[in-house]
Amino acid sequence: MDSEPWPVEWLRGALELCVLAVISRGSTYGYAIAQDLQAVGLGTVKGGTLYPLLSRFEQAGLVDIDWRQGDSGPGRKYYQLSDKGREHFDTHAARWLAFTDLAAGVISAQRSHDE
Amino acid sequence: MSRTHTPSWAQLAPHVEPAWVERLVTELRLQGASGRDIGSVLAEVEAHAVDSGDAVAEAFGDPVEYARGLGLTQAKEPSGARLRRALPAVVQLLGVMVLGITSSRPGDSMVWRWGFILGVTVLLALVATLSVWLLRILRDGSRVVAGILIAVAVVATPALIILLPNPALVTEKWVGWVVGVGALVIGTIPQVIKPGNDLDPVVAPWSPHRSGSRWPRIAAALALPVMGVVVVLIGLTLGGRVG
Repeated sequence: MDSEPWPVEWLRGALELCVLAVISRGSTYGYAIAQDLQAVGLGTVKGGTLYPLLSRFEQAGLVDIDWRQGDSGPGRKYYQLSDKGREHFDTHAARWLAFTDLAAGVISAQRSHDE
Repeated sequence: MSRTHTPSWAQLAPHVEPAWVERLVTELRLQGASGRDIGSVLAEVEAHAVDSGDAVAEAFGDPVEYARGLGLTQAKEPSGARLRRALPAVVQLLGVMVLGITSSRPGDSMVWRWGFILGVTVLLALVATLSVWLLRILRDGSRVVAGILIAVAVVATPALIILLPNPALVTEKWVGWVVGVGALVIGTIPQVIKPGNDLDPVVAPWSPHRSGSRWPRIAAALALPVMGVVVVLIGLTLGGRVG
C-alpha cells in the first residue's frame, strides 16, 4: 500500500460514500469507522472530519442511531444505515463507480498512449 | 442503559481537556443546540478520545469550528415568540421601578416626571431588545453592538431622569402603588403558572426524557417581586429624606 497520504481533494470526494459503505456492513460507531477506513489504506480520518459528516447523515435521515453504554468504558453512539440511507448509498455508489470508471479510462488511455 | 442519572457536561467528557469542552459547549449553545444534542456531542468526543488516546485538539481541531461543522442549530424561534417570552420579565421590571419611585415619594400625590417616564422606557426597550437579539448578537460576534446598546441605556436612563425633571402628570399616590404592584403581578403570574421547564440542561443522550422541575423557573420568576419588596422597603425608609 502506498504510504504517502492521499490528496485531501480525493478523500473529500470519496469519504461520504466510503463511510456509508462501512456503515452498510452493520451497526458501528465513529472510532471503529475511522479504524476501518485506515485499515483499507485511506489514511487517518480525524474526528473533526468524520463526526460532522455523521451528523449530516443523521440529520438527513440516512442513518439510525443507538446509544450503547459500556459497563466500564464510555457510551458509544452506533450508526446503522436507514432504508433511506441504503437507497441513497446504492444510487450514489453506482454513479460514483461509473464516474471513477470513466476517469480511470481516460487516464489509462493517456498513459497507454504515452508508453 | 444502566446509568440513569443526569450528569453535567463536565462529567460527560472527563477525559477531554476542560477548556476545549467549555469552548465547544459555549459555541453549541450560541448555535442553539439543545442540551441533549450537546450531551450527545460530548459523549461521542469522549468515546473517541478514550478509544484513540489522541489529544482532543489534534483529533477534532478548533472546538468552535467543530461545533459549527456539526450543524446542530435548532429551528430559529421567531422574534415575536422571543419577545412574548421576555415580556413578563419586562413588565415585572416596570413594576419594580414604579414601586421604587412611588415608595420614595413623600405625601399623598405623585408627580410623574418626563425624565422618569422616558428613562424607564429606554431601559425597558433595551431589556426587550437584548432578550430578542442577544443570542444573535453574541453568535455573530457583534458584541460591540451589544456593548454600545447597554452603554447608551446605562447613561441615557439616569441622564434623562436628571435632565428632564418637568412634570408630565400628577396623580394620587395610590395610582403608583396600583401600577407598580399590578405590573409585578401581571408579569409574575404567566411565568409561575406556565407548565414545563424552560431550562435545557446538558444531559447524557442515554438519560430518560424528563420535563424537569418547574421550581428553578418559578424561583427565577419570583426574583423581581422580591427585589420589588426590597426596593419598597428602602424607598419607605428613605422616603422622608428624599423627593
